[in-house]
Amino acid sequence: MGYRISVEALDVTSQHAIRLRGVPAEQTVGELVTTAVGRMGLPTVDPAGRPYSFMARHEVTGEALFVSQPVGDVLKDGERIRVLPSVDAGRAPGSGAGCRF
Amino acid sequence: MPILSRYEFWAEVTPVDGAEPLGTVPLRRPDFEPALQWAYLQRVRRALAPAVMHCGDGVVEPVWDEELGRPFVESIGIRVGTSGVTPLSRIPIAYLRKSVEMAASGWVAEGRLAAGEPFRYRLVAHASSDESSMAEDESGITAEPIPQPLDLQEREMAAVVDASEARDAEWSDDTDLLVVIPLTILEEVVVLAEAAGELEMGGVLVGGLCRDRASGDLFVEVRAQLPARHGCAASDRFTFTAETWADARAAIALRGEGECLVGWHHSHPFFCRRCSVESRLRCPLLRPFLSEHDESLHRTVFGRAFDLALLVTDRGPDGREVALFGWRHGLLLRRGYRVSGGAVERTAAVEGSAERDDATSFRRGA
Repeated sequence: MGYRISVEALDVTSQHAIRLRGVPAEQTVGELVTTAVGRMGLPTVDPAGRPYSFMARHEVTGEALFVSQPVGDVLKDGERIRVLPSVDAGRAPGSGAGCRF
Repeated sequence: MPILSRYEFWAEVTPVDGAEPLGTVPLRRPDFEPALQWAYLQRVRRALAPAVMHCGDGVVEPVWDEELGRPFVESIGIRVGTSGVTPLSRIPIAYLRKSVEMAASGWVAEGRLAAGEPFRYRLVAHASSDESSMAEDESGITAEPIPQPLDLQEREMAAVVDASEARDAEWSDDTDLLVVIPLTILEEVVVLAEAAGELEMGGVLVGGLCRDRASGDLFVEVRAQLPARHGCAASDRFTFTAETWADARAAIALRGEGECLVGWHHSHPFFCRRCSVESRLRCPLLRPFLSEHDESLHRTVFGRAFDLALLVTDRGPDGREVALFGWRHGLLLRRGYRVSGGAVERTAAVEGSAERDDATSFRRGA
């Protein structure tokens, strides 16, 4: 492809909204999400050190973008994506493996 | 969104039973973003800053302990922006407690501290030659923030206060935003927790950030809860998937009320089911608390200073307890709130009766 585009990326609540300029069109959506999450300063691992998984959705169509898709195939210059994490609540200390209290 | 600091923070750690400090341990890149968000919202509340989600710079610097002097730190100073013209917001050193615990955990492995051994700490700061900031990488990609409006809704706070009653006032702080939650929502989340049985359940809170017409101060109105669809429930966790968030955003758009996500809720089942009565008496799991994973979820998704976390704790024979948590000085802490929509009338109706406890504390199954 050889060209670069600009992409707007927002998190769940729009607290973090950034415009990424110079995104290579051949870069994958997965790489774009990694860049966006890093630039937003969002945590990338849970307290146990396991990485959070984020997925991207096209803001207007709501379509889920697959991590292996090239950015240039699914996004036009200036379009907006929303990056959404999969995160656990709970995991109380002492639960499951036996209480320590 | 760089947060700059010309200082490195260290903790001087002393075992509770010891007289001499074990030494000092560096705190690696503490996360000051929640503190900066909180400081910025305080400025929006006083109409000193635009009503947008803060996505700008900030500066962290130590406030020296007046008695001990430099390098001992009395509190952490957070300044919105890098121009130096905004006043310093003071954040208590407790803000870095978890960073200290994490840093000191290395000493447990080395045998200098026993596992679980309580310690106290003092914060010290040293000038740093390496200003922490988000450096550009070599990919050629640049990032610039796009300020998003806060979509404040004009309301009469006095009317909201008159039509509601305070809950958990002992957990309140003068700096907290007023939060009002309809009684029906509290009842709904308790019913959801009951229905989930031994599993955790979760959902989102929908509402609006409001500006009082009289004072200009901000407050939060929770108007609905939406059970999390596409989530995964287990006895010790609830997974909010990417589809959960997408579904919640779509539902809010369908409601068409100009609302937004203002937080989330989840439940803790009765963790102490198989424990003895004696163990339960001293068990911290029977009290409302947010686990590390809960706090990490809140930081990851609900990092705005007005975002809320509602928790239903199953206390077994003592029923279920509802507790609200929110950001204060960048720390995620239990807080007070107000209940609207019948709470006042219901409390009055059962005053002096055996039902009072059930009506005022939302405990069920007691």
